[in-house]
Amino acid sequence: MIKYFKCLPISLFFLAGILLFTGCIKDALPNIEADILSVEYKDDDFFAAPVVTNDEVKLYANEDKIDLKAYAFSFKMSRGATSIPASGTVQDFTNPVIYKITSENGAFSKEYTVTMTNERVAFIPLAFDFENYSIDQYYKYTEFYDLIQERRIDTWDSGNSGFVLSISPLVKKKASLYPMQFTNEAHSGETAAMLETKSTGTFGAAAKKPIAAGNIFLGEFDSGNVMGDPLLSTHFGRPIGAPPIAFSGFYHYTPGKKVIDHNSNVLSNVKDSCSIVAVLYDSEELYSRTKLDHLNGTNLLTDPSIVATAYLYDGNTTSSKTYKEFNIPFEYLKDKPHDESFNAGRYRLAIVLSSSKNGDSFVGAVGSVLLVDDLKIHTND
Amino acid sequence: MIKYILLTVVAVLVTVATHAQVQIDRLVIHAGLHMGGVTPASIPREIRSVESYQPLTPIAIGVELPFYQINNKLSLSTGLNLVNKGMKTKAFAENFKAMIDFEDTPYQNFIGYFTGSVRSNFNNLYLELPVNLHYEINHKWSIQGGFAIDRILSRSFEGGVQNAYIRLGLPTTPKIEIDRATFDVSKQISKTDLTVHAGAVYALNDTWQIRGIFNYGLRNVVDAPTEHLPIKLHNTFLTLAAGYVLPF
Repeated sequence: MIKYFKCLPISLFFLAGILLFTGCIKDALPNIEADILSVEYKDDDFFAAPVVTNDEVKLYANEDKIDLKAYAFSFKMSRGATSIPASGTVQDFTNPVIYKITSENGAFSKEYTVTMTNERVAFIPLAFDFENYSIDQYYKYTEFYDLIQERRIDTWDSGNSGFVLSISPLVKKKASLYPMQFTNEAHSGETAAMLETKSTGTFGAAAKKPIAAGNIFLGEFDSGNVMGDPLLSTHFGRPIGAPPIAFSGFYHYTPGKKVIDHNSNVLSNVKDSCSIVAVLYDSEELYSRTKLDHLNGTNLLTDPSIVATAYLYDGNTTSSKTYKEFNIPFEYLKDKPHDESFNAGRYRLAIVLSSSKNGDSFVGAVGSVLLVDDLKIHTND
Repeated sequence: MIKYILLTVVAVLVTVATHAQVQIDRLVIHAGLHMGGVTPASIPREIRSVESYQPLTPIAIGVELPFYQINNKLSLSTGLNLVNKGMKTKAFAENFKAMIDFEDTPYQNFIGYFTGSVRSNFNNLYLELPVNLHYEINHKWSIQGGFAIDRILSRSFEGGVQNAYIRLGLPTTPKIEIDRATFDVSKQISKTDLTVHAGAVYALNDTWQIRGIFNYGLRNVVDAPTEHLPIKLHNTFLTLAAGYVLPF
């Protein structure tokens, strides 16, 4: 008995420790998340890793292994979540399939658009009419896309998803709050892309990023990295199937009144101008050197992988009320690659449009507006 | 009415004084380990695991001064302790709803859901003035309980988050990934605490004793608005010390 009591303080100590740090962990609450977390697949089913975002899944099927018309898409969800249709049921993926995921506690649900392709290289179309767009379901910004044989393909992206954190959470989200939006003032058809340099408010000014230039580009914006460097979040370029000769289109530009720098100081006697740039680059050469297969905001105009460029130099005010046409030949900095070398998707084209040409260093005029429509890439074919 | 209460108090005091002896005949110097945590009384269900725990400067030293012998079993003591309440922990939280301030954005005090690892380091040095009631079970064992006023001498509460993401507004909005972020909110540590104590003392001989005393702080250690920190954190520590009895 005495021996037992001697140990009492020590056992008390251990008991307290155990109670504090393990005994108190309770069962988890019914989960509130409704995510598709990952795709379950055999390595040779797909020729590229699936891409899962907050409301989209992209699958790249190996033609000889998977039948697009009857594929049992299997995936992992947030703990306890359920899905309609259920994971592992056979669906026809000729067109995108919508999966509705509901959280374990039943209070939250979300729709995922699941698309599947068996084309190894998704070449961009050579004409862009800006007639197809969708509005993000949460933040209400505009996203333009293109159709090839009625199938939606990824072409354009913008920094809109990064601008979400610059809008006060108290403001009801709408498309016109964002630097890139659709407009009905089109050159042809119903809509065109409108890029507008926006103020990032007092918080943006404090961070020495007082403006966000309106931008749209061929490529992807890494929206998972909104807290990181915005220039690195822009992944420029998509595969092009033939060497480009010229870049044409229609634009209208109205510069804002006061150009400010990153410290919000007004630069007097400086007029804002837009930038319309097309860059052809060799993604294999770029990858072999940098382990990245895309250009970004830091090297778009300077990287050694650049093969040809087409810039609009007189990006100043367009005087007339109507759109102005431009047609710029590509200038090849290296020998023009043979047509066949384009077949595997090695060469990529980055078209990058901005309402303030120095927007990448946060210099520009709030209110500068660039409208663009009916862009075309001319090839020999 | 007040007159009657006063009379009663005086009567009790006289009774105690005649039956007990006021004496200061010894002093106990004690020193040892002071380990535990700054934890919620009940860990919220959003905390899914404690990934690591390590005490930080787990030291307590002090003197105990018995000043009043109520009878041969019961006595009162006071004293002065210097205790360091420190710990390093890493906990994994899932969908923890809290007010979030995003630096350089208008997202200030905005409701969000946090998932990820949170590292918190507390290192607070307190000067403590205790009052304890002792009960002697036998000549070897006694138990004690009481309270103390703690005043902070130096304070530190910093940490960081890792492999985390935040969802703004609703748990279905896009994840905002946060690889690494740090915080230092040392200034939000309350300057005073009121602690309650309970423990046992074992006398090895007339001079040496072993003491095990549990301490719980009644006040929230972090003085932050409830919306920012929806849980209340309390000092929850155990002292395991050696005591040296110094008779006068």
